[in-house]
Amino acid sequence: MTNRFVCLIVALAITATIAVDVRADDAQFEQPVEITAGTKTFAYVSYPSPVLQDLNGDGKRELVIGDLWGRLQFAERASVNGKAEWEAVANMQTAEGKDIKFSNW
Amino acid sequence: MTPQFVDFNADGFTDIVTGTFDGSPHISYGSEAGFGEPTHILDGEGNRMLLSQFWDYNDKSWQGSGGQHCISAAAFDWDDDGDYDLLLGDYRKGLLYLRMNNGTNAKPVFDVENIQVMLGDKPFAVAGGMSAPRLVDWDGDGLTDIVTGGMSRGGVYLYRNTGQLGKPEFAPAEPLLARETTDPQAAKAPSTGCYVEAADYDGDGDLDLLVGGYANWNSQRQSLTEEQQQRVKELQKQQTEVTEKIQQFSKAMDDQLSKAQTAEARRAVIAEMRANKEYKELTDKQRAVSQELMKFQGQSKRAAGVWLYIRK
Repeated sequence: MTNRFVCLIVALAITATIAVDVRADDAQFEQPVEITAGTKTFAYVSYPSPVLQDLNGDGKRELVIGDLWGRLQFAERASVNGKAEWEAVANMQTAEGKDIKFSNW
Repeated sequence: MTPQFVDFNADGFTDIVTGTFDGSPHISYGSEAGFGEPTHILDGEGNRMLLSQFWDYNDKSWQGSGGQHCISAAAFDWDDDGDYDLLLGDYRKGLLYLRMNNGTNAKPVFDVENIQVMLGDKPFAVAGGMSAPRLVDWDGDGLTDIVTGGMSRGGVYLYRNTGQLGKPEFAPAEPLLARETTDPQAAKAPSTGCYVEAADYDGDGDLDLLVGGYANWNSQRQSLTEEQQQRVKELQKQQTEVTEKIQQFSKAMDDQLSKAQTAEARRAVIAEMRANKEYKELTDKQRAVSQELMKFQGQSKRAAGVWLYIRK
């Protein structure tokens, strides 16, 4: 796990600003599709909060899920028959190999 | 809890900024070795920033922060002076607060007071409460907008930044996703507790939405005959009556519990009420009425998940 986060660079941390030319009143979306990671949905997560972030600097964004309890999980992106899918989740960990847990109480 | 991945201390490594249910902003600093143990982000006087409320068991009331409770935090260079300030989001009233950084990223000095973010002359407030503000230039005008999801009422909303660089001003909410109505059949979309990520998921150059939250639906809902509708009304009346009587028992028990001096005395109070014949008949009646009502009305269900909305 430690190696996964080595050499994280600023250029890959740009989550704050993504430039596209759209307006909300023009925005139309397809019907929602529930995301699965591995074979599971996120039904077991309390208040799942998704974020896309390249955690390991390979140029591909992982799916990170925060929860009510202050934990973080992530899933690697996989491609199945050309369709984007997600591998099974793993817990995000500190450099010491402990699961990251933000105090929530 | 929404993580924001950002180089908060400008050391070249990505950190994780977030708010949690403890009412404060947190950070896990990144380094060459990986992420560190999370810690609170402190203000300029070294104190924990706190925007929370709690249930006071003695006074039996909510205390602190005027009913607001921070569960989200986001780093944002509000005044464009080269360092990150902090936005703190309140989930109950959907309010947003700012802590200005009077130092630098490497040596931040955050204000000790919250500044309320406004929409014109009114407070920034997400109807039904706010999950977490996400910062994104939605319309590509070079200014950072806010996209957020609703808590109790769901939905996803855009607050367009109509100000200037270093002087953000936000326009009233524009719905990106209206609140999903409760689906009678199955969990098809999130309708409460909506946490949103705005990102180009499919690589086609526009922003899609990933929304975590809860789908709410009702199983076995059916069309009722007039006779059944009448029966439902009768059952609902019975349910109200029996519930009121049970509440009277509960209040009496609360009064006795407040006078009980020891744990043993409190257990005795609870045991006495459970053994009360009338109380037992009431709870049995309540259960039977609920089960019969469920046959007509179905059962409310709720499930968490993450849903993808691809932009057309």
